[in-house]
Amino acid sequence: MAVAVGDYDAGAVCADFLEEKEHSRVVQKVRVLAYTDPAPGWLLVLRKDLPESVRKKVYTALTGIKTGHYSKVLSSTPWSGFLKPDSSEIMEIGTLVRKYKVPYSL
Amino acid sequence: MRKITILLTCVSIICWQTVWASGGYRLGVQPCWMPEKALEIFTPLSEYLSKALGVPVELVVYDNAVQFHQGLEKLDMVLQDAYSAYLHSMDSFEPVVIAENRSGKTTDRGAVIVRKDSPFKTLSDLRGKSFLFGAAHNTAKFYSVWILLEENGINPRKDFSEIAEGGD
Repeated sequence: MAVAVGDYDAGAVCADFLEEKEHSRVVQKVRVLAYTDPAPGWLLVLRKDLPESVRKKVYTALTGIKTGHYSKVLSSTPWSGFLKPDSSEIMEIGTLVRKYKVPYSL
Repeated sequence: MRKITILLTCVSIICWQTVWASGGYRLGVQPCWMPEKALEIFTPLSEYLSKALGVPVELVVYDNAVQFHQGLEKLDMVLQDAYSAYLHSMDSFEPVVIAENRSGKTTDRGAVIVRKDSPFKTLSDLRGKSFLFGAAHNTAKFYSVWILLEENGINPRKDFSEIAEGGD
Protein backbone atom coordinates (compact mmCIF):
# COMPACT_ATOMS: atom_id res chain seq x y z
CA MET A 1 0.00 0.00 0.00
CA ALA A 2 2.78 2.41 0.97
CA VAL A 3 4.44 1.78 -2.39
CA ALA A 4 1.18 2.19 -4.29
CA VAL A 5 0.61 5.65 -2.78
CA GLY A 6 4.23 6.68 -3.28
CA ASP A 7 5.46 6.71 0.33
CA TYR A 8 8.28 4.37 -0.68
CA ASP A 9 9.97 3.87 -4.06
CA ALA A 10 9.85 0.08 -3.80
CA GLY A 11 8.77 -2.62 -1.42
CA ALA A 12 8.45 -6.29 -0.63
CA VAL A 13 5.25 -8.29 -0.66
CA CYS A 14 4.30 -11.92 -0.55
CA ALA A 15 3.66 -13.10 -4.11
CA ASP A 16 0.30 -14.51 -3.05
CA PHE A 17 -0.76 -11.00 -1.99
CA LEU A 18 -0.65 -9.94 -5.64
CA GLU A 19 -3.12 -12.64 -6.62
CA GLU A 20 -5.72 -12.06 -3.91
CA LYS A 21 -8.87 -10.38 -5.16
CA GLU A 22 -9.30 -8.22 -2.07
CA HIS A 23 -6.02 -6.47 -2.89
CA SER A 24 -6.76 -5.83 -6.56
CA ARG A 25 -7.21 -2.06 -6.14
CA VAL A 26 -3.72 -1.78 -4.70
CA VAL A 27 -2.18 -4.32 -7.03
CA GLN A 28 -3.32 -2.50 -10.15
CA LYS A 29 -1.19 0.47 -9.10
CA VAL A 30 2.04 -1.51 -8.86
CA ARG A 31 4.16 -3.82 -10.95
CA VAL A 32 6.62 -6.55 -10.05
CA LEU A 33 10.30 -5.92 -10.61
CA ALA A 34 11.48 -9.35 -9.46
CA TYR A 35 10.35 -12.46 -7.67
CA THR A 36 12.34 -14.31 -5.04
CA ASP A 37 13.14 -18.00 -5.07
CA PRO A 38 10.61 -20.12 -3.22
CA ALA A 39 11.30 -20.62 0.48
CA PRO A 40 9.63 -22.93 2.98
CA GLY A 41 6.25 -21.62 4.10
CA TRP A 42 4.42 -22.20 7.36
CA LEU A 43 5.41 -24.86 9.85
CA LEU A 44 3.86 -26.32 12.92
CA VAL A 45 6.65 -26.72 15.44
CA LEU A 46 6.38 -28.68 18.65
CA ARG A 47 8.27 -28.23 21.89
CA LYS A 48 11.18 -30.67 21.88
CA ASP A 49 10.57 -31.90 25.40
CA LEU A 50 7.03 -33.10 24.71
CA PRO A 51 6.62 -36.88 24.75
CA GLU A 52 7.20 -38.68 21.45
CA SER A 53 3.66 -40.04 21.65
CA VAL A 54 2.31 -36.50 21.46
CA ARG A 55 4.52 -35.69 18.48
CA LYS A 56 3.27 -38.79 16.67
CA LYS A 57 -0.37 -37.98 17.41
CA VAL A 58 0.02 -34.41 16.16
CA TYR A 59 1.83 -35.55 13.02
CA THR A 60 -0.73 -38.25 12.25
CA ALA A 61 -3.66 -35.93 12.90
CA LEU A 62 -2.34 -33.08 10.77
CA THR A 63 -1.09 -35.13 7.84
CA GLY A 64 -4.44 -36.93 7.85
CA ILE A 65 -6.49 -33.79 7.37
CA LYS A 66 -6.28 -33.64 3.60
CA THR A 67 -7.34 -37.18 2.93
CA GLY A 68 -9.71 -37.47 5.85
CA HIS A 69 -13.12 -35.98 6.34
CA TYR A 70 -11.69 -33.09 8.34
CA SER A 71 -10.93 -30.73 5.47
CA LYS A 72 -13.33 -28.22 7.02
CA VAL A 73 -10.68 -27.82 9.71
CA LEU A 74 -8.62 -25.82 7.23
CA SER A 75 -11.40 -24.23 5.20
CA SER A 76 -10.69 -20.74 6.57
CA THR A 77 -6.93 -21.05 6.28
CA PRO A 78 -4.82 -20.54 3.13
CA TRP A 79 -3.88 -24.23 3.33
CA SER A 80 -5.22 -27.53 2.10
CA GLY A 81 -3.21 -29.87 4.29
CA PHE A 82 0.08 -30.60 6.01
CA LEU A 83 3.09 -32.62 4.89
CA LYS A 84 6.37 -33.83 6.36
CA PRO A 85 8.83 -30.93 6.21
CA ASP A 86 12.15 -31.07 4.39
CA SER A 87 14.60 -30.20 7.13
CA SER A 88 17.35 -29.38 4.62
CA GLU A 89 15.25 -26.52 3.23
CA ILE A 90 14.83 -25.10 6.71
CA MET A 91 18.54 -25.42 7.44
CA GLU A 92 19.22 -23.58 4.16
CA ILE A 93 17.59 -20.55 5.74
CA GLY A 94 20.27 -20.54 8.41
CA THR A 95 23.03 -20.84 5.81
CA LEU A 96 21.81 -17.80 3.87
CA VAL A 97 21.08 -15.77 7.01
CA ARG A 98 24.70 -16.20 8.05
CA LYS A 99 26.08 -15.63 4.56
CA TYR A 100 24.23 -12.36 4.02
CA LYS A 101 23.87 -11.30 7.65
CA VAL A 102 20.13 -10.92 7.32
CA PRO A 103 19.16 -8.78 10.32
CA TYR A 104 16.92 -9.83 13.15
CA SER A 105 15.01 -6.62 12.59
CA LEU A 106 15.69 -3.19 11.14
CA MET B 1 13.78 -55.22 44.25
CA ARG B 2 14.68 -54.62 40.57
CA LYS B 3 11.13 -55.39 39.46
CA ILE B 4 9.74 -52.96 42.01
CA THR B 5 12.13 -50.26 40.81
CA ILE B 6 11.09 -50.82 37.19
CA LEU B 7 7.42 -50.83 38.18
CA LEU B 8 7.78 -47.59 40.14
CA THR B 9 9.65 -46.00 37.24
CA CYS B 10 6.89 -46.97 34.80
CA VAL B 11 4.19 -45.69 37.16
CA SER B 12 6.03 -42.38 37.62
CA ILE B 13 6.43 -41.93 33.85
CA ILE B 14 2.74 -42.65 33.28
CA CYS B 15 1.75 -40.25 36.09
CA TRP B 16 4.11 -37.58 34.79
CA GLN B 17 2.66 -37.83 31.29
CA THR B 18 -0.87 -37.82 32.65
CA VAL B 19 -0.23 -34.75 34.78
CA TRP B 20 1.41 -33.00 31.85
CA ALA B 21 -1.32 -33.84 29.44
CA SER B 22 -4.22 -33.22 31.79
CA GLY B 23 -3.53 -29.50 31.64
CA GLY B 24 -3.74 -29.58 27.86
CA TYR B 25 -1.51 -27.80 25.41
CA ARG B 26 -1.16 -24.29 24.07
CA LEU B 27 -1.04 -23.64 20.31
CA GLY B 28 0.26 -20.21 19.35
CA VAL B 29 -0.08 -18.58 15.94
CA GLN B 30 2.45 -16.07 14.61
CA PRO B 31 0.62 -12.74 14.18
CA CYS B 32 -0.14 -12.40 10.47
CA TRP B 33 -3.85 -11.79 10.92
CA MET B 34 -5.81 -9.53 13.24
CA PRO B 35 -6.31 -11.46 16.52
CA GLU B 36 -10.07 -11.85 16.01
CA LYS B 37 -9.51 -13.14 12.49
CA ALA B 38 -6.80 -15.53 13.66
CA LEU B 39 -9.19 -16.94 16.27
CA GLU B 40 -11.83 -17.46 13.61
CA ILE B 41 -9.39 -19.09 11.21
CA PHE B 42 -7.60 -21.41 13.61
CA THR B 43 -10.24 -22.39 16.19
CA PRO B 44 -11.33 -25.39 14.06
CA LEU B 45 -7.70 -26.55 13.95
CA SER B 46 -7.22 -26.28 17.73
CA GLU B 47 -10.50 -28.13 18.27
CA TYR B 48 -9.35 -30.82 15.87
CA LEU B 49 -6.04 -31.20 17.70
CA SER B 50 -7.90 -31.32 21.03
CA LYS B 51 -9.85 -34.32 19.78
CA ALA B 52 -6.75 -35.98 18.36
CA LEU B 53 -4.77 -35.55 21.58
CA GLY B 54 -7.65 -36.16 23.96
CA VAL B 55 -6.91 -32.99 25.94
CA PRO B 56 -7.75 -29.32 25.40
CA VAL B 57 -5.54 -27.43 22.96
CA GLU B 58 -5.83 -23.76 23.78
CA LEU B 59 -5.45 -21.39 20.83
CA VAL B 60 -3.27 -18.36 21.58
CA VAL B 61 -3.19 -15.38 19.21
CA TYR B 62 -1.26 -12.15 19.47
CA ASP B 63 -1.58 -8.47 18.66
CA ASN B 64 2.00 -8.10 17.51
CA ALA B 65 5.35 -9.78 17.01
CA VAL B 66 6.78 -8.60 20.34
CA GLN B 67 3.96 -10.27 22.29
CA PHE B 68 4.38 -13.39 20.19
CA HIS B 69 8.10 -13.72 20.81
CA GLN B 70 7.74 -13.01 24.50
CA GLY B 71 5.02 -15.64 24.75
CA LEU B 72 6.84 -18.42 22.91
CA GLU B 73 8.20 -20.08 26.04
CA LYS B 74 4.66 -20.62 27.31
CA LEU B 75 3.62 -22.49 24.17
CA ASP B 76 3.71 -26.20 23.40
CA MET B 77 3.17 -25.89 19.66
CA VAL B 78 3.44 -22.99 17.26
CA LEU B 79 2.22 -22.22 13.77
CA GLN B 80 4.74 -19.86 12.24
CA ASP B 81 6.57 -19.27 9.02
CA ALA B 82 9.91 -20.91 8.44
CA TYR B 83 12.09 -17.84 8.92
CA SER B 84 10.39 -16.99 12.20
CA ALA B 85 10.82 -20.60 13.28
CA TYR B 86 14.51 -20.49 12.39
CA LEU B 87 15.02 -17.26 14.31
CA HIS B 88 13.05 -17.99 17.43
CA SER B 89 12.14 -21.60 17.87
CA MET B 90 14.81 -24.01 16.77
CA ASP B 91 16.43 -24.28 20.22
CA SER B 92 13.26 -25.36 21.96
CA PHE B 93 10.97 -26.54 19.17
CA GLU B 94 11.19 -28.87 16.21
CA PRO B 95 9.20 -28.81 12.96
CA VAL B 96 6.57 -31.53 12.76
CA VAL B 97 4.68 -30.60 9.59
CA ILE B 98 4.72 -27.96 6.89
CA ALA B 99 1.55 -26.43 5.47
CA GLU B 100 0.61 -27.13 1.87
CA ASN B 101 -1.16 -24.26 0.17
CA ARG B 102 -4.12 -24.58 -2.16
CA SER B 103 -1.79 -24.73 -5.16
CA GLY B 104 -0.13 -27.81 -3.70
CA LYS B 105 3.04 -25.97 -2.71
CA THR B 106 4.79 -25.85 0.65
CA THR B 107 6.78 -22.78 -0.29
CA ASP B 108 6.15 -19.04 -0.50
CA ARG B 109 7.76 -16.43 -2.71
CA GLY B 110 8.32 -12.77 -2.17
CA ALA B 111 8.18 -10.04 -4.80
CA VAL B 112 9.75 -6.63 -5.19
CA ILE B 113 7.17 -4.11 -6.34
CA VAL B 114 7.30 -0.52 -7.59
CA ARG B 115 4.61 1.89 -8.70
CA LYS B 116 3.37 1.17 -12.19
CA ASP B 117 4.35 4.63 -13.37
CA SER B 118 7.84 4.52 -11.86
CA PRO B 119 10.91 4.51 -14.12
CA PHE B 120 12.58 1.52 -12.43
CA LYS B 121 13.19 -1.50 -14.63
CA THR B 122 15.71 -3.60 -12.69
CA LEU B 123 16.69 -4.09 -9.07
CA SER B 124 19.85 -2.08 -9.70
CA ASP B 125 17.68 0.92 -10.54
CA LEU B 126 16.60 0.96 -6.90
CA ARG B 127 20.01 2.04 -5.57
CA GLY B 128 19.64 5.23 -3.59
CA LYS B 129 15.86 4.80 -3.32
CA SER B 130 13.64 4.06 -0.35
CA PHE B 131 12.51 0.49 0.32
CA LEU B 132 9.80 -0.94 2.53
CA PHE B 133 10.16 -4.55 3.66
CA GLY B 134 7.30 -6.58 5.04
CA ALA B 135 7.25 -7.50 8.70
CA ALA B 136 10.66 -8.60 9.94
CA HIS B 137 10.75 -12.33 10.75
CA ASN B 138 8.53 -12.99 7.72
CA THR B 139 9.97 -15.40 5.19
CA ALA B 140 8.54 -14.10 1.91
CA LYS B 141 8.33 -10.39 2.69
CA PHE B 142 11.60 -9.98 4.54
CA TYR B 143 14.06 -12.86 4.48
CA SER B 144 13.57 -13.93 0.84
CA VAL B 145 13.61 -10.37 -0.47
CA TRP B 146 16.73 -9.51 1.54
CA ILE B 147 18.47 -12.54 0.00
CA LEU B 148 17.24 -11.60 -3.51
CA LEU B 149 18.63 -8.10 -3.15
CA GLU B 150 21.98 -9.33 -1.80
CA GLU B 151 22.30 -11.88 -4.60
CA ASN B 152 21.78 -9.05 -7.08
CA GLY B 153 24.57 -7.02 -5.53
CA ILE B 154 22.40 -4.73 -3.44
CA ASN B 155 23.17 -4.35 0.23
CA PRO B 156 19.94 -2.97 1.66
CA ARG B 157 21.71 -1.23 4.55
CA LYS B 158 24.14 0.61 2.29
CA ASP B 159 22.46 0.93 -1.08
CA PHE B 160 19.02 2.28 -0.18
CA SER B 161 18.40 5.82 0.98
CA GLU B 162 15.92 4.50 3.54
CA ILE B 163 14.73 1.08 4.65
CA ALA B 164 11.81 0.22 6.86
CA GLU B 165 9.80 -2.85 7.79
CA GLY B 166 6.13 -3.50 8.30
CA GLY B 167 4.58 -3.31 4.86
CA ASP B 168 1.74 -5.53 3.62
